Amino acid sequence: MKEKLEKILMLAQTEIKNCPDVSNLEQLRIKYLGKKGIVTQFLQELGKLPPEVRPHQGQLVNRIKKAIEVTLQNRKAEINTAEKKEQLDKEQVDVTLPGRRFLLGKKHPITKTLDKIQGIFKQMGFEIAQGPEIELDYYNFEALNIPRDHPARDMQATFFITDDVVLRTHISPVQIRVMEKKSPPIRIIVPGRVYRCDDDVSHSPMFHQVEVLVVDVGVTFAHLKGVLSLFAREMFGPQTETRFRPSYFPFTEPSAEVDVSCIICQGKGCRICKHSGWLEILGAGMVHPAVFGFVNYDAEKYTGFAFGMGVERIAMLKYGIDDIRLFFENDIRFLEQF
Amino acid sequence: MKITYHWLKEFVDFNLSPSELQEKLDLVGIPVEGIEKPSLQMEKVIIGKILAINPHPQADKLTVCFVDIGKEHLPIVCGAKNIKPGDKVPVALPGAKLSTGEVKIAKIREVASLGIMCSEGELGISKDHSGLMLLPPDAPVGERLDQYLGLSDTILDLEIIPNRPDCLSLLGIAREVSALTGNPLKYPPLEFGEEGDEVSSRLHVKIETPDFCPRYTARVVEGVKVAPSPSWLRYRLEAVGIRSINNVVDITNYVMMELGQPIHAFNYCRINDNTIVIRKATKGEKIVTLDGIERILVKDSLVIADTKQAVAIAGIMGGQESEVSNDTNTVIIECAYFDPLNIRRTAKKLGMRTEASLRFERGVDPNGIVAAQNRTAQLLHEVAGGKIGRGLIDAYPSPIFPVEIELRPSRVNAVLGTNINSPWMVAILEKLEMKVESLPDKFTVKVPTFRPDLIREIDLIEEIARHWGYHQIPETVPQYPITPIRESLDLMLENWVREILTASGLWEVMPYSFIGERSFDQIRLPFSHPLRLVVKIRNPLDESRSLMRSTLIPGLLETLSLNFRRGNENLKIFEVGRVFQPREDPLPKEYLRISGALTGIQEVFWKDKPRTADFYDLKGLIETFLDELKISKYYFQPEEHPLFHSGRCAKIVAGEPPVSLGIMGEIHPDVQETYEFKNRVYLFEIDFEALKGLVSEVRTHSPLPKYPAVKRDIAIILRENISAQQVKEVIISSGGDLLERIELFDVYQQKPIPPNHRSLAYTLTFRSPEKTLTDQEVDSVQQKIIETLSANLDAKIRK
Repeated sequence: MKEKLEKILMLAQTEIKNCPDVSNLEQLRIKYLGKKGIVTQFLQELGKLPPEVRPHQGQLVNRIKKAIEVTLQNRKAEINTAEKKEQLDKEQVDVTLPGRRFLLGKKHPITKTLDKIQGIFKQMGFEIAQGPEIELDYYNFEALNIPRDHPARDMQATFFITDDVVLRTHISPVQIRVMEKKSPPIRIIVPGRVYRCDDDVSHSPMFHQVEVLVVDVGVTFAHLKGVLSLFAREMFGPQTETRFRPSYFPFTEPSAEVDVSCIICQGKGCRICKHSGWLEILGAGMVHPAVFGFVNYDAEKYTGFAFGMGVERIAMLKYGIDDIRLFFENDIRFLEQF
Repeated sequence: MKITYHWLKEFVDFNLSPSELQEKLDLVGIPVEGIEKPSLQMEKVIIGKILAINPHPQADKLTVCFVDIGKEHLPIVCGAKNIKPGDKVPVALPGAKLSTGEVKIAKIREVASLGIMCSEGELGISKDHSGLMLLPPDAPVGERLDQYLGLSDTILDLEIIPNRPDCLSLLGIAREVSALTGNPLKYPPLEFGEEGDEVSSRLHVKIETPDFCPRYTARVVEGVKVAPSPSWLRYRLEAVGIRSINNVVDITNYVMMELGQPIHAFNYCRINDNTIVIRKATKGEKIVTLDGIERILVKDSLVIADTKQAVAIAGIMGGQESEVSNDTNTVIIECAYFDPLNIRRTAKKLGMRTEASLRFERGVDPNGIVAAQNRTAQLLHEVAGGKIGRGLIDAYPSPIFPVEIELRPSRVNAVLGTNINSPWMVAILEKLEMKVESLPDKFTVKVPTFRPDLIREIDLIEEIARHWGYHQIPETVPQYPITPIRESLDLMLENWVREILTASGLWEVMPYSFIGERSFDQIRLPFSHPLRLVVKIRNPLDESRSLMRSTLIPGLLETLSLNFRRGNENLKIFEVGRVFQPREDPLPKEYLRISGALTGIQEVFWKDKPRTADFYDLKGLIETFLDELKISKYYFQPEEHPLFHSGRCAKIVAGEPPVSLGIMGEIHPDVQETYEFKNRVYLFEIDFEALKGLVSEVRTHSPLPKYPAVKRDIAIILRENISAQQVKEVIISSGGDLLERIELFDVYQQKPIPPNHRSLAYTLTFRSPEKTLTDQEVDSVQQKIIETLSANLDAKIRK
């Protein structure tokens, strides 16, 4: 009997090991361990044996049954693994083919530049102010200490709607509108679109400016320098240096032209900075007492500073763009680059 | 303004190279825009004197000259005819590089020639090749020609800010250099002798408009020999960009460059009745100016006239009639102060901008006029042999006096944030030729009349800051109490809109705010359409940019068009920008608008079939946009608009009571044709204000459901003219509280659906917040929905 069983076991193990798939494996399970299976029959016949040999024989049959079960299980695992592998092999893709892209849109480079500038001042507690793009001569010129026939009007080629209404030539009229409505302290940043009758590689009839205005008791030129240098470092990097040169704007005095160390060559001298190491990007100064007169501020009590910059110029320098008109053509291949 | 380095040195000493000077001037606000080094390579061109001219043994047309060049005498073969022994000429020695090539020792027909005598053309000074350049008798033999003529001088191109008329002169620049270096200012020589008749017996001056001409001076100079200017004068003027005319005119310009005072010379014998009248032009009065152009004078133009006619436009340009010419013997020298505003207006109206008008309109020094007269007289005598008549007519009906300004040193430091001491302030103001008187705690500063820009204390503070040096002012930051800044809803929403649209795959564009009348034709707007009511620019760059836009759509179409022409056919773009609408108020109303466009293939992927944008891409975009802004109860209503396809256009409506947010749709095929778009284009425009009225910043949480939902699909057949919106409304109203969600998943319109009908299939989701729904409960609601659809819309269930 024992020999018989050992033989069955060997036969079963051989068959199971050679079994190719899960369904055949099930056939084998039924053949050996099913209700009428070979090993099961031995178990059923145990009862017919004399009681004294029964336990021993029982153990023997059970051992064989277990062994077959284990073999079946192992083989099943083997087959499963092989089948998975086959499936995975079949499903292999060419990882080098292009993926299905998400088509994100982007903000215009001018918006991005504006966001960056505004962000710096928002962090420092400045409020954003806005005003109309079509403006009264009074706000655009008169109240900024640029009366009619003032030579400074020649510096800003103006689009006229009527004798008294113009497309604002700079962003400064907003400072008058803000000061008319509110008493100091004032800390604002004013972004916006402005217009001049120019059209060439470096001048667009429409462009953007940002102006910063601070008015309070005890505001000094030293503060102007401090805040502007802080801004320049935030905007162009911690190594950025600033240089202030006397200049003239009718609405500030003392006035300054402000250069920053060239952001391309870090001040070493290159084509962009015309080998000077400096880029002229800002106009600045202390608010002219005459301007305070127009908004009924006490010019003895309050002082203030303002500075302004051209957004396109900054974007052009930052991204290395040499034609301002590219911003307003909106060729998608241009916009994609930012 | 251009000046030359050596010319400046005549007015002040300084030990600065041109580039060091540039740096210094930059720091006081006179930027040097360019430094021009002399372009000629003339080290080997020197001044020679012709000793003898002998015939050439082999050639009739050539001569052999012996030329003294200082150290030696050279034989030079020459073909020129305009020379005689004793003449001084430029000699180019071997090695010199001329415009005609390098000079070499040569044998010309057996005779050695050790150099070349040059014409102006050969030296590249002018185009004159007609004869040798003849130098003045006193030209120093053996010296370098370029140094003698001032050709080796460095030219500095200065940018002068408009409020500094004093800096439109060498004297003014020298004054700044003097303050910078501490070296004294040197005035040019002004001595000359007077002879002949008293000027008052030869000329009468009458000022009819003292407001416009506060001061007029005149002198008569007899016996001038009008001739080409001596080289030094000519080259200096040409170096600073002024064309040489003749010695008399050149001297007036030379003095203008030196002292900043424009001067005019009249031909004395052309002035009728020896009388000069300063008056306003008469109506329609004409004058032919020096440039040969007949000018019709405008109202309030100031003219210089004799008893018969205008002889000059005051302060701008002289008349041709009284011009100084070769046969002129006696000249009147005019030196005046005109009202800057009047000159500026006249110059602008006539479209004339001259060196004189530039200075007069910014303000010359009314009290520097006599010095300018004297310098002119001195040079006229020296250079043109003029006899200076006795006396000077000086009509000064309304004298202009220096202003006095109070200056508080404490205020200087309070404005600048500095610690500058008072003696330093006094010193610098005095170096700038101001008179400073000390009082307790303040100064009184008397400002010379050549500085019309200094009127208030702050102007003096700027002067001190300039010379103290901006770089010496410290950098500090202001301190202020922390105050939270709340961003306005406008700015937040604008930003939000950009975020949502870019996240939806749209690219932000920024076209010009200008459009042209033609844009309206292109989008088929009838003449009476309200959008044609626009703000017009009086002086536009061109017709296509002559109006301020009333809608963003033309700009987007232009942007699409430009991209199409360049081969970018698949586009998703948007703009957030202002439009303008005229109204009663002088300022138009400015509205912020949001507009966008889709066209072409929306997604390209090698596994999928490319799909071009359609109406529902646009609609889905807007739905996503409105959902994201939490705008509830919006709907789309068919709309007619000339720009859009009549069957594919909708008004976007939302809110309670409903307001129109904007419009969307496919552009009309005619518009597509006009712009030559290959694909159909889908556009929308939304009004920002309307949107803002419906947006809420508030977000509230509703708890996640506790009980499971039941989903049921139903398909109904109804007439095709019943809109999806109607069906949806019926389902919602009949579905009651248990109906949580309706989702359309299919629209079908072919067999077996009867003609003019369509089938709509929905997934309905039912849920109760209180319990798990039973099938019977859901069945009864669904039954009610079906019955209502059938009753109200004649819908049949599709089995």
